[in-house]
Amino acid sequence: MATLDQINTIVVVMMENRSFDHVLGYLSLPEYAGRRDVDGLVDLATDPRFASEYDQQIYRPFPMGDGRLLHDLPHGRRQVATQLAMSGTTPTMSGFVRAYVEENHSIVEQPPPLGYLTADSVFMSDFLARNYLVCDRWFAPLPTDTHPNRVMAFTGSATVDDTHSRIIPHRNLVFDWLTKRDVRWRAYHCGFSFFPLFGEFEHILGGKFHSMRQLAADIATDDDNEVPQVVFIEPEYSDSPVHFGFSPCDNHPPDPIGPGEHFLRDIYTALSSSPRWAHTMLVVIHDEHGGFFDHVAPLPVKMPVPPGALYQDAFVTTGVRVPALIASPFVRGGASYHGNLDHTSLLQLFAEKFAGDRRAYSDDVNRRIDQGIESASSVLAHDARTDVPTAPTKAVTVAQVLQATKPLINENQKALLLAGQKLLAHNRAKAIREFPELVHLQA
Amino acid sequence: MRTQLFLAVRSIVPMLVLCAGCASIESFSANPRTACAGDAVTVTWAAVGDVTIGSEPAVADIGPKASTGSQRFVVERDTRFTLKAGRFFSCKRTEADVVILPAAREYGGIAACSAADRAITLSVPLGERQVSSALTVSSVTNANPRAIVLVKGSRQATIPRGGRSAEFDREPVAGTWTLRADLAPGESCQDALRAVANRLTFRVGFGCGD
Repeated sequence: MATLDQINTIVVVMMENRSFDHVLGYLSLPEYAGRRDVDGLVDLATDPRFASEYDQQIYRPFPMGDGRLLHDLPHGRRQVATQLAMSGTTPTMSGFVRAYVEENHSIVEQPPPLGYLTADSVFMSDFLARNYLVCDRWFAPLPTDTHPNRVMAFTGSATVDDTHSRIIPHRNLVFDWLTKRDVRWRAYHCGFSFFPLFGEFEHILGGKFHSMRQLAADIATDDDNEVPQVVFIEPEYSDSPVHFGFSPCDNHPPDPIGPGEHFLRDIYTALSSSPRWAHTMLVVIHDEHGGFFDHVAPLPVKMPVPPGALYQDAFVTTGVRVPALIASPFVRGGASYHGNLDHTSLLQLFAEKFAGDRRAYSDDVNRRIDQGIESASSVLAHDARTDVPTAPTKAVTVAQVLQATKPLINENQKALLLAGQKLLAHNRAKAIREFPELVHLQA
Repeated sequence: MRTQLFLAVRSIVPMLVLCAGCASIESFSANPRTACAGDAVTVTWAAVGDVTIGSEPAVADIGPKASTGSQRFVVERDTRFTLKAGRFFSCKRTEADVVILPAAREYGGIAACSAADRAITLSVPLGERQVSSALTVSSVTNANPRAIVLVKGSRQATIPRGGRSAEFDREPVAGTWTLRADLAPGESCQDALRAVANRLTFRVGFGCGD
């Protein structure tokens, strides 16, 4: 049986605005994992690829602690062009400081776009990287900001090249594609969702959008004939107009990344504690780099201006590399994958899985296949592993960390733990439906 | 009546905020960015709103200023200047650092290649934005993955990869530096530029007037 046939549920989590080097680059540094199989940060003091120039001075990446930044970082189409700093047709990736100064008028010794995080800050990404698979050639599809890249992810094309207040014109929405092929899908959201921006409100209100608080219970109680084959999970967006019951956890600067790491931990724990994990593929990506430095040049993948587009200039490269992690029994632990991927690799995966042909999604996606973008199925191993690594329990040093991750320090906390365990033992399904946080506790 | 007043205020306040404009920062800089203790640095700003210039550590004469201006401040230590602009309910903030006599700095940028001259070259003008006129060279290091010829004024040195030169010691750092890396026999411009990631740089160690 082909590996893809053994995957019953594909789970996609798309976070916001971080580059590969910023989140996972440390994996290559000798003082951390020293992984030579990952194309991350090396020889930072001397390798010219890591030199960013502003006003004749050279700036190089530096370790930064997690925390709130003074500014969001520039990442619109014009600013990304500055960051790529083309020399002829070659992106030199040397303009990240320049774009930051031009946007924020701030020039400091350690410009935030060059900061990289380490394992302490990205404890869950580090866990996934050590126990599952890192893709170090996963690019945002377009060298611009949120809306175009998310539209690429969910339609395979982009009629907008920037992020503006409007319902986004589109074609080939993934929800329509899946529904047309009787594929069971579901979306989980923390607070307000990104998907209403497509304007197809019947999808949103048709019963397939569930609160993130239902995830663990749904996984535990869904019947085989109702468990979704594709799941999209959304964080609480920092740009959401309202926050009701959730704090931002989408990783969008200037907010810290710690809450997003805890969000990933919630998702992984919910999925991996279910017997269905044996047939699950979890994909964690970021929509675009958010203005953070990355040393790998975007791919020369061209996208002509589609009919009805609200812009005139065609894109001639992908965007910047983003962190991409795959967790599944069908990937090897501590492995890496170097094939060229972008968000449309997921649409190829759906086409391959549910239509038997990776070219069955759309002509737009096929145009990217023809330019070397692979299917996300490329990362899968032939044989399943049986171990299920346990997510870390350590807390991170940001204000928004979940109380549940703090070590037990008093009798009341110990009592609450005991009560939670007893409640789980009494009726696990009902307990986690009422109190999703309990999924972290063992009965 | 009270309800009507509340509704009126509620409708006006957002309009004031949105229509009358928020605070914004048009420009901010503190130059030179690398200086000697006792140097006067020029802080220049342009903003919309009530402006306050601050610093850490504090220097003389910081505080509320006109929305646009330029002023010289004497610095003795590494100093972070801040600009805060406030208007109605919005506040913007930005920062600029001045560093006193760092051990070294790397300068350079994106280089160009001439097939006719068989060389990659880059000119690096260092002026009052970058360095104090009191700063002198204590050493120069070739930070590139190949040998370079470094020229400043009448002085010139060929420096191997990773090597140092004393040719420029005690010279002012300010001025125009020219870097040249020759192509290897048979090497194309494309290959040469790829080998240096399109960049040429050099490191300067600093002294202050001695």
